[in-house]
Amino acid sequence: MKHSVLTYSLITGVLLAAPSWAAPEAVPATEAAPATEATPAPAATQKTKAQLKAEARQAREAAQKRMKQFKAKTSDLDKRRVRYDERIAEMNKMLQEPEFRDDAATRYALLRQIILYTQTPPWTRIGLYDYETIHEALPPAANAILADPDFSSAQKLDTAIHYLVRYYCDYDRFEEAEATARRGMELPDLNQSEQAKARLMLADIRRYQDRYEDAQAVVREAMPLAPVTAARKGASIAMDFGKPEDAAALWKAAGNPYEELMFYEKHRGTDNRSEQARAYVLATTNDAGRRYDVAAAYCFGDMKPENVAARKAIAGIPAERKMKGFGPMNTIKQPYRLGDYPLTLSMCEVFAGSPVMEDLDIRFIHVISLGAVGRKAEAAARAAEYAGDENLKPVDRTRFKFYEAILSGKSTDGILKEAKLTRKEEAAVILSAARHCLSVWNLTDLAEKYSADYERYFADKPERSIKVAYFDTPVKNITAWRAVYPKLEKQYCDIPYKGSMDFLETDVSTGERNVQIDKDAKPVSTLELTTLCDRYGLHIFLRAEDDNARAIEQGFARGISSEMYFAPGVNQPYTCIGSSPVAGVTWLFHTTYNNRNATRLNKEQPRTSFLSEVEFTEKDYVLHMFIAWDSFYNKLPADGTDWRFDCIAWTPSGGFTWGGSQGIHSASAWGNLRFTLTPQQLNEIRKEIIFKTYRSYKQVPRDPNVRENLFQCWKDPEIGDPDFYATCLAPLEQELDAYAKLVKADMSAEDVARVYSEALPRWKGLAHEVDDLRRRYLNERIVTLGR
Amino acid sequence: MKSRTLFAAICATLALSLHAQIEVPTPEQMSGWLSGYQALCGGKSPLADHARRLAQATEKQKANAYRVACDATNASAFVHYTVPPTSETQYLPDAYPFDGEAGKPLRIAMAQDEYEPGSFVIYPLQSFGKVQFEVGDLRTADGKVFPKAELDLKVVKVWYQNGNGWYSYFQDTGLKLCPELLLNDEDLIRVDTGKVANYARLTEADGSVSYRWLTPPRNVDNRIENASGYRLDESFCAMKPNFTDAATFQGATLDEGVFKQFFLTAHATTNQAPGLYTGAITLTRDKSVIGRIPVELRVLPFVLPKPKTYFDRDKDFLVFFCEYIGFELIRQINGNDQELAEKQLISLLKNFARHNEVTPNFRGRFQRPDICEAAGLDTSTFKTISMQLARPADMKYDARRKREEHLRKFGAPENYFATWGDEYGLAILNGIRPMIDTYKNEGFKFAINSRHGYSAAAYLADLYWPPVHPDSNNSTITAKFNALGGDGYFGWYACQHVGVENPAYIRRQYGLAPYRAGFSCHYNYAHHLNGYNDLRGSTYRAMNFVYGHGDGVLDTLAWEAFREGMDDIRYATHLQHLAHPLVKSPALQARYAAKKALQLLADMNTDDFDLTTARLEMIRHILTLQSFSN
Repeated sequence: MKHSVLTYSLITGVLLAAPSWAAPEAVPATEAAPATEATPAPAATQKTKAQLKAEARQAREAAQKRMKQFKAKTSDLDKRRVRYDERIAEMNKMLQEPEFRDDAATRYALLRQIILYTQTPPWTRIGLYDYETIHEALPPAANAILADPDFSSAQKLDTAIHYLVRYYCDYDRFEEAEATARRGMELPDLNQSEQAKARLMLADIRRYQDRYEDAQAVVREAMPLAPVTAARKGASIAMDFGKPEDAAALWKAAGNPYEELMFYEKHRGTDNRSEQARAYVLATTNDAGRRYDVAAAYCFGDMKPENVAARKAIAGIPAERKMKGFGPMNTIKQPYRLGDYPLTLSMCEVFAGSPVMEDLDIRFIHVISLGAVGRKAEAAARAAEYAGDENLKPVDRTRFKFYEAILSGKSTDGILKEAKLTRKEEAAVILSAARHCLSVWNLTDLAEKYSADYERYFADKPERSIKVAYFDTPVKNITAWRAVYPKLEKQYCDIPYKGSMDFLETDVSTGERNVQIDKDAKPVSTLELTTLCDRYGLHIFLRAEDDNARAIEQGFARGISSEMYFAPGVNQPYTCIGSSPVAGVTWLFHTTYNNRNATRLNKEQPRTSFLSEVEFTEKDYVLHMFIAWDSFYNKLPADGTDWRFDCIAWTPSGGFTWGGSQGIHSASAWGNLRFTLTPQQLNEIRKEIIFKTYRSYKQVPRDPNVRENLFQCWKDPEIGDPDFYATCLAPLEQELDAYAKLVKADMSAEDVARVYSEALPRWKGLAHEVDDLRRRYLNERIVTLGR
Repeated sequence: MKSRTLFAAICATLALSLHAQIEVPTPEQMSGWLSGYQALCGGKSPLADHARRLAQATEKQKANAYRVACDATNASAFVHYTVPPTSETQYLPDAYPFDGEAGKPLRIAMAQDEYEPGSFVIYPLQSFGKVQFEVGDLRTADGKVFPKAELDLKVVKVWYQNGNGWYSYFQDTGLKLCPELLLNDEDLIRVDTGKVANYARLTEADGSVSYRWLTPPRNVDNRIENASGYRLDESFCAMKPNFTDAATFQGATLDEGVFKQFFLTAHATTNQAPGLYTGAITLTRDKSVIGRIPVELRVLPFVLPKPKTYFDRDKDFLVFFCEYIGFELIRQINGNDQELAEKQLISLLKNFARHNEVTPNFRGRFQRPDICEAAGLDTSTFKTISMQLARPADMKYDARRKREEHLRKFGAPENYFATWGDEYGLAILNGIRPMIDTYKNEGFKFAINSRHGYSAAAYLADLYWPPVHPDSNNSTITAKFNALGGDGYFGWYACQHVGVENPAYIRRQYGLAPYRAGFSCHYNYAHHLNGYNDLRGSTYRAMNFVYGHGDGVLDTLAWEAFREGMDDIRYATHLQHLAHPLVKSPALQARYAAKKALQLLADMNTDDFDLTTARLEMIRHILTLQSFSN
């Protein structure tokens, strides 16, 4: 609200000061006038004239400077995403400064800008906008413009009247809107077009009120003043209201078939004027440029014979008019993008001889498209011609040479050697050949060959692997880990993540890494990875060495967060894990629901699934993640097994990965956690899971903290199914109980292996097995018995 | 009463479901199977002959031979396994189908007016070359016919997808085999395991055939290097006539010791009489029968209702997608042929209707409602317009004109959702409130997908669809939203986007998981024709529920699972419709039956229960409830 008060007071000040301002345009003119009268000029007068000229130049420059300052200010306000009410306040501040206030051009620009700042901004800025501002800011600014004798009627109409009318319409104050529009119509010295514009504001006011007939009445009034503008407005309103016949009548009255056709282009769904458009294009008495425009709007989209004929009729116009630039080129590129090569070539014929066909991209498109439709000899000839153009870069000429060879069925061997390109340029040529052999020319064998050639320009990607050492004494936490830390292999997240994707001539594992290296060549300012396992599970530690660790812990400095991927082997479901330095693991993204093969990591089950902890010291901070074997009871690693893992460290200087991922979730790029478990160690792991499972394998969780005996429940005649139990579950229960009896604290390695292999997966997955049995049981009963 | 409430309760919190995606045997198991294989080789039977021919095969193949021999001791030509069609298991060529049932009939239970799949895997004991499969009419004991025209057999094509295949929708640079496509002619796609590549067979009008590499590296897969700055999902022009699957099943090549999966979709019309229909699929080579797979199909005595929400059994469960299937997108991959695109779009929309996607909001939906209606889609509800953020007068004017246009085209616009922007937060939401009010005042509903603006948007949103997992982890936020009068829809997207092939995952994602978690809508990204090259994306994989071809689209395991997910919701809806009136029945047993049925659904409030079993339990309850209702 205080901004609004400020705005109002400033504008009032401006209004009071207005009469004393001099019109800036008048200054040089008035001052120059005596000089033109002084002939022959005495020496003193001539000096004055020169002086005046200089002063005029200075004034012009000063005006330009002020306008630049104004533009810089608005640009800066936008860049800083300043709220709109504050922007208005800034404009008002400038209006108070004499140099801006006294210059009619900047004064108008500032007032106009205030008005523009009251309008609904685009969506990217809508959060900075307050819908209330307009009520206090727009009317004073508009009135200031209207009251200013230095501003022309056209300026007043375009800005003050126009926006006031819109403002009143926005808030359903239609009487005021109409009065304002009429005030606009009465402004002196308006030309015909401006008079029409003023009337058409009335049409808008009425259409906003859904007064269709009244709006059209105004349009009809404006028709003699500016037939096309009025027809466009009236026809547009007619289409909005679903009255295409009224639109047609207006265009008939306007008598401008070109504008009519251009209007109907976007209304083709309602009123298709394609035939009329083709007739216009074929009539050589029409203006050539307009025929081209109409053809572009209606006849460039397909290979229908009538459109081909229309295109032929305007072929040559682009050459005559030396057409170039985005618009014309896009008419060739569009069918090319759609894979419509006949149409692409047809468009090339339209532009034959024009600068469009000199464009390098268009030349490539032309050759490629000729090859696509089987005109290979012609394509090769064109390619050879372009390859000989010495104005082209060697790399582009080489591309054409490749195309020529391929389309002539010749080998491309030797072309690159002769071309003496850089390796990067060579790769680009080969890549282009691969692409077009594959996607356009249907030459898959060559595409594969060139693709393989292209791959040779890249260094092999690294395959990271870290040994997961087994510890007989469990390493339960970070404190225990610090004790064994010296014994562990350390690796680092040191491969830039999308840092430099240009692998040409660079080995990503040994090349520029951007990661800082300390005096011992150890990467710093990134995460260090260590891993180990024990009989309970796998432990992964991510450590960041940082003298600022405490500040990070306290939230005064930024640490390293991470995104990790973990999968218990190739082609297994994976989990994406997110961490931040202080909170530790903050989220898990799963790629499976729980099932017999895969169990989600669950932060709620720290003993049997997943646990994480964080520790900060003065010198470092560490994230510890524990992944219990229990979740992977049916895929325990053997000696030599690799599980998959990667960590992307989001450091202040960018992302760095351990495994070499160059994209998120890039499974094939992850590194390996290499297990080297001895049979005895595996035995210890298995025993631990068996001991945790065998006593209560029948007790299944129902709701939190409630477990029930699965078999007993199925036996129950009301909540279970005794027949199902007797048929399917009783033998299962007997069998699994028998294995449970083998479990002892000192069970032999053989018994461990047997129980683990034959019973443990079934104990752990009992519910799955019962589910499976139930499916089979019910399927048979329902299908065969219908109950 | 044999209640399955317990079953569901047990299943619910058990972290259970069906079987392995990829089995990891223990060393002891593998060792045992290999010993068994050695023993098998010493025997005299077709199985033993087969085992001996595998002397040079991998250990896995030998173990497979032994495990198959244990399942079917009398087999001579092949062994078939019936398997759940929406299983977690990847039925790969060398993966023993451990959740299958050897030699059992292919059994399908279905409602009237429903599509329902069955599936089987064949393990040939010798190489047969191309084998023909004849699906005959099925008949009841009293002679009623389930016509073979309503039985659609397809082979499940295992092809290369990226390293995240089956599991997620993200990009990757590697390839692995993954089951996905349902084809009539399996040779439409050639899979070269030596080169690790997929190829499309292109057949020109003159009969000439060539193969197009489908799995080039990302950089190579680009046909617009000279005309960039344009979205092009697909570099392969898959919807040209030269790449068209056969209209009917063309048989399959059966190679010794190589598992192959088949998918049979039955369609019962509304008039199909309830009962047990039996018959067989006959396999022939050179006109000689090499075996039969018995089929037993039960048509149940009810028709499924439209899907409704769990918390309000009268409220529609809506199915939206970011569809990406309009004419321009099709023309990008059919050679810019508008006439062909119209046929293909109609075919695609009919495919939608067959898969329970009846309220699509594709780009041409508004301009061409005739096409949707011709395809049998629901035109009463859809996301229809983007609101125009402009000056108040223009917004009001636009909203009124759009309302009028809707009235002219579709009738009242009260079921039409207007949307604006993407994933915005509180500041923007605050700025667009007048716009929302304007369009709401004209009868449109407001759809918003922001995650961050929940607090500010909840009261405004008629359809709120943040990027959250559609499962029990989010039941608290849906409950909050549903408590606001219950007229709004809570949807989801992105977790995960389309792209996961695993049909069990998809069935849950679009079925009972969101249903039970209090969602009332799907609005995922995206059902579109996103290309055949799984290496092409820079962040995401190609997101395809279906793939385009000359005659429309090729179905996938995931797309069939989508239908099953929606059908699960329809079964649950039917169960609720039957049970609730009976809760107040004077008959005690009827009340018990109703409550047990409802408890089945109530206990499904986790994401781990097996969906095939859950469906069968629902059927069992429905049949019981019907007996009380009658």
